[in-house]
Amino acid sequence: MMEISAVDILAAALVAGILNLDQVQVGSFMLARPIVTAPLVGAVFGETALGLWIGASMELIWLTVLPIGNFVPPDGQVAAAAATIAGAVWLQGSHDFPTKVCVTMLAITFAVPVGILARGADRKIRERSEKIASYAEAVIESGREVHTSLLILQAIGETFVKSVALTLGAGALAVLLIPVVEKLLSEPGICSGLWFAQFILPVVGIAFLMEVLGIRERWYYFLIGLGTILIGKALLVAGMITP
Amino acid sequence: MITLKERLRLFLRSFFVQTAWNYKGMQNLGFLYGVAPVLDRIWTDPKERQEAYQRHIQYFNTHPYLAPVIMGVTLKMEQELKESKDPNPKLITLVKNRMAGPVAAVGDVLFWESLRPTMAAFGAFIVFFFPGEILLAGIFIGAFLGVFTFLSFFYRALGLQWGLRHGIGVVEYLKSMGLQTTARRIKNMGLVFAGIFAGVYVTDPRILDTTLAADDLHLAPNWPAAGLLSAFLAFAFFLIRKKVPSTRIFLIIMTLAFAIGVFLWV
Repeated sequence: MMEISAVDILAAALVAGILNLDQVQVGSFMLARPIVTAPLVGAVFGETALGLWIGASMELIWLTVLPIGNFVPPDGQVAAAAATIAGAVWLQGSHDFPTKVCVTMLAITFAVPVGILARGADRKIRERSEKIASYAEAVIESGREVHTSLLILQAIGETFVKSVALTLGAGALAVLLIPVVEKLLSEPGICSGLWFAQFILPVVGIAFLMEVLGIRERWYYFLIGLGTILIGKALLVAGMITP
Repeated sequence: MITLKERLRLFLRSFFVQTAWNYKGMQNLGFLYGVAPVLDRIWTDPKERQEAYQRHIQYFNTHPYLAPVIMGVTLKMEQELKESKDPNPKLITLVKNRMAGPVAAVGDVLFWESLRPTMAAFGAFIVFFFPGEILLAGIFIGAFLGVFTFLSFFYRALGLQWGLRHGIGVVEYLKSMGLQTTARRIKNMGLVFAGIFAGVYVTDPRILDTTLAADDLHLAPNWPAAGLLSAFLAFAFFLIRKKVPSTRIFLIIMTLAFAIGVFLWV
């Protein structure tokens, strides 16, 4: 059984903090998407597979949301990192499949409010950035030299600190919740509910994908994919074709 | 004339166009940071430089991958202003703001609404269909990152060149590239994938019975399970159409599924 130390959680929070910068501040290479962040954070604990499963699930929850313009969605990146840390802390190296599924679902449920909380922090960061930009404007107006590089660095630093603090806080809370999680995992009814919910999650993702790609205008493309699979499946089951 | 060294600096600084994004000026500080070194070279007189900085600290917002296109156009105009080919500095701000919207629309539809959800969902379903296949999932997620990194570099580097070369005419040039058509094709392809995902997932008999062999494709679908999954799909889609926020949809569906799961156990 792998013991998770405070240093591991700190390292994971730092990785998450760097990746969070990609969300808006620097680059936008998709490093901050849950499906990328979660396995990378999971790798810190040697739990890449857990991170993949959590990242894929959380990617589907927030498939359609991106911080474009004035819109500030729940922070899926911070949530994915928090879920992975919580999952690794609660799993403690266990490879029992049903336990893994239950822990994954508990970790995701725990992290969704963290993502909502992080949205509030993102709004604060934007307000802080407004002050930075206004300061630059005032300096230019006064005829003095403005050091844009330093202001950019300050904005990056604030976002990094926000992300690390939130992820670290979520990690600490996850540690405190270990006895509660152990109690929940010992209840077979709860695990059964989480087990079933886990199967439903991808279906929600399919619905989001259909909507964002505009199924109402081009539903026939969806039917082409669905029909191909259904016909293929029918032929396979009837033994008329072999894979 | 923008030198090669300046172009390289502009390209590198364009990755920070969204840094210090704020409600009032949006990408204003990021844009100024990008073009500042070239402005410093063009405008050596402190008063003229101050005026140039004032022009570029004003409100600006576009797609981050395509921002260098507008950086290129505005710097070409700044250069022409310096050479007195164009005596109206207000035109620079006007052109910059007029271009930002259409350029953002192209970028949002192509990258954010078509390519990203399609590729991200593809990666997620690889994880769900092949649990435990870390290498396979890693390859797809790597491809997702690779495609976006490539496109980000490609459009930033070439966009700057296009802006510098075509000036105001760059919007027509972008239109001629057929990026909207590409976005539509990606969406069509994404919907075919969505149909495939739905078909494979809903008819997979292993979904509710993990004791079945993973490689036996001859197994008949578990029809009650398929019906239940289809009902959840329809319900989720109904909530999306009703404009329920995605986080709330997740919580509603998961609570319902959890309750059914507990009920099945009891």
